Amino acid sequence: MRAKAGHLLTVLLLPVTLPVLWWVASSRSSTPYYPPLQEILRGFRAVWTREQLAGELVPSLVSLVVGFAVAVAVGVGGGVALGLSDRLRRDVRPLTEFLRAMPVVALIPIALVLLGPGMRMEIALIAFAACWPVLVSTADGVRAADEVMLDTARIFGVPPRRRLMHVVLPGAMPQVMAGARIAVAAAVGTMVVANMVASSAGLGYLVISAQQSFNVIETWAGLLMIGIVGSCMTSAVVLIERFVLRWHRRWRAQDVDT
Amino acid sequence: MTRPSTEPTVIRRKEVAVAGISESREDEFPSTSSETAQQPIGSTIVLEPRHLRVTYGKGSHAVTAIADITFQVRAGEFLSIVGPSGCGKTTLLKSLSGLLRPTSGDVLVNGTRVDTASQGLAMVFQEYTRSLLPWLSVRANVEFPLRGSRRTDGRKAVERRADEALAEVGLHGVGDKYPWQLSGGMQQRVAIARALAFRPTVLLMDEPFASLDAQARSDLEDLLLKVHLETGMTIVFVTHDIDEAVYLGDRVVVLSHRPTEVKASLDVDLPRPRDQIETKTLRRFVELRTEALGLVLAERSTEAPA
Amino acid sequence: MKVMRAEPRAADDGRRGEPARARGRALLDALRWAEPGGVVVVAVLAWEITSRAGLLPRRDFPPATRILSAFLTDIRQRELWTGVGASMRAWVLGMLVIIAIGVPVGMLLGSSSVSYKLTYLTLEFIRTLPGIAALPILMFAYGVGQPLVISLVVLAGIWPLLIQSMYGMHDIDPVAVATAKVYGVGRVRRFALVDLPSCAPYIATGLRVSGTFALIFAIGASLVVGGQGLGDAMAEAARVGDRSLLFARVLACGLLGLGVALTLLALERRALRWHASQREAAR
Repeated sequence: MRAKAGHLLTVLLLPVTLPVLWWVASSRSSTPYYPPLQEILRGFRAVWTREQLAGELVPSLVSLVVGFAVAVAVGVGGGVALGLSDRLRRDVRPLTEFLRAMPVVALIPIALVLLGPGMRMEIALIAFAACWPVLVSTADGVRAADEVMLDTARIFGVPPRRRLMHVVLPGAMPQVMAGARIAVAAAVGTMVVANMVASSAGLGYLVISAQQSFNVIETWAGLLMIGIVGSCMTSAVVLIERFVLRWHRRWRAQDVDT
Repeated sequence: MTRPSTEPTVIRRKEVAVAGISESREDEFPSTSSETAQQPIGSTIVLEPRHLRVTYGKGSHAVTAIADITFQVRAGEFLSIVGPSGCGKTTLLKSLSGLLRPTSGDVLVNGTRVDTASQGLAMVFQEYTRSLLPWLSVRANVEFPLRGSRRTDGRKAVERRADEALAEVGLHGVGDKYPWQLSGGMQQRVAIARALAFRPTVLLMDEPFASLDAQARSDLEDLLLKVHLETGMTIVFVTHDIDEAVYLGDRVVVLSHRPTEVKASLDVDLPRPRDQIETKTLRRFVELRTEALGLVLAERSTEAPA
Repeated sequence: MKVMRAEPRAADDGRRGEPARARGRALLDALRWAEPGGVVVVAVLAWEITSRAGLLPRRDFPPATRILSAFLTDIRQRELWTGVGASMRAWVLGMLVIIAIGVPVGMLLGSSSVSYKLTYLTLEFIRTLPGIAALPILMFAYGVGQPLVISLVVLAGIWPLLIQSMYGMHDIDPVAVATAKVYGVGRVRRFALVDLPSCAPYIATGLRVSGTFALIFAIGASLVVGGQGLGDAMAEAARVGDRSLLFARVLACGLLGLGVALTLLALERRALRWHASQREAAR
């Protein structure tokens, strides 16, 4: 029990002390671009008024969540298909590798042409950028389905659909979740870039326009908000992961012990 | 390969069958196993590989794992299969279960040719950690093959069957745990319970106790004998342990090394119920195991150097 | 009792001549490539037909043949190659910095269980934050130019490599370390003989992930802030409204990404193959 508490303390030490360090280190900062944290926080409260939250943050969050959900749905669906069929995976590989390697910023001009500026374009870009990590790791997880488990299910006459839902998918879940965590970074980054390049609202737009008007405090306040959004989203995914994979964590822990 | 007609086993099986659980199960048993209880082993052939041949690869790279295997398993029989290591025992079981299509020859289950898996057979694997689903509780694992398949009964019936099966293997009250929270021996009991609840025509076992410690292994051997006695289930038990094969089986089939053929079939005329100490000190037991061991060792010495 | 005898499946059915088999294998290999190739051809054809039939606005989505010819013209022009050159230079320089910092720092953090525990959670969180968000601050600090692009590339791309290096050190087989200690292998030699080889596969994986991230930012930075680069070349095509050229440059961008990804993947495969064979032997 004490060991556990000690472990928790060590793990949480840095996340707690880092802001403090920042506060102390920046308190006497005279560099205009790195203002004291105290000022940034004061600015944060001033910038993020209710109207700003509704006008800049909410649209970004909506695109983010919808785009991410689409990405997970497409990624898991496509990943299962690719994981199940060696032939399909081989046949579409040139296309998937090409699209996966495509920097998402390259698609912004095209998305603008096709969908125009706005939320639909942002959602499409976020979904595109975030679906690849999920797709690739889901396909890996499905391919790595345990042969003995599958043989067992086959012998007992478990029909294919049920084998997929109860044997293959739960087995691939650790990988699906790992892909989803990476997808969060892709989604938030894409949202910010799309805002910066092609929107007149949203978090990315706020920071880039603040930068262009040399409003340092507002830039930092926007940056801080992006960090908070990213952290919250990651935390949400981690929480879901812990819930979905509660068997997995304890299973692994027990594996290590023996 | 014919059995001696004097067969005390069956009669004793009926006598020992406990009332209640196993009685009602006997009644519900589909297929031939319910008849078994009244009839001596040898009346119905439930599983029969005929001139089974399995070749991996093609052309000059082809490796013949199984050259020609034919034998018959009768309803209610406990058949042990032994052979030198690497003799394709697992390949044989995969073919019997329909997981692997033989290159030629065929497998008959109740007289019908097997061409897919799921012919009402069940299998207990050596790798219990990989054969039980780690994300399901013990109970859910036992119920898993009973739900959503062609054999589905009502929810209540499924739960009752799982309960009975868990009780039968002495796992009353652990249904809500996860399999990986149990010891290896307990996990293998779960796998056996799952097979019992499924009520298979034939239960195939692929070296089921090979990864267990000695204590758990002898416990499970006796558990399996008890289950066999009480349910009259037909069991095909593959092992590399000759003592185990003789101790458990009504008959021991000895395989040759690759390319595998049936080398001999020994009738085990030891009385049942068997006992770890009493049976193993019988002169007949020693004779049988010596004979089987001799056959397997002879195989090893004639094996071509790799 | 119905019995159907299975036809013997083609197995060790006699031997064909060696040359015939070699020819057969070549044909099989060709077929293996034919299907994916066919899928690409079909995709291009579908684009062509969709565009010509006017299912997508034809002005915005020129037919595939037009894009291909624009691409072929473009790759003979200086403008594209200046952009590619600038982006690749930023990528290479950025990767050098990433390797120089990420590998030693990661290995150092992973070498003790205390520093590992202290930092892994924080690092796992930092990696999920979008590096691009730091762009405005970096613009304050560096202005627009090569240093800005490189610092962005480093900031965005360093985390996978750093974290992988850390995991690599953390997961070193204690038996290997104990063995080395028992035989009195010194610290320096132990580093070269045990630590580095054990970390290599992790570092290779980190390098691949970092490399693809870094490339995205090397190209993307010039699209967002201007300056020389492939991103700017794309923005330019969009500005002048030449759709064929825009798509041609997007194509170039994808091909570049594909090339880098495949190169890094090949590198990783080599490292992992060694790793796998090593683990096989250990069993």
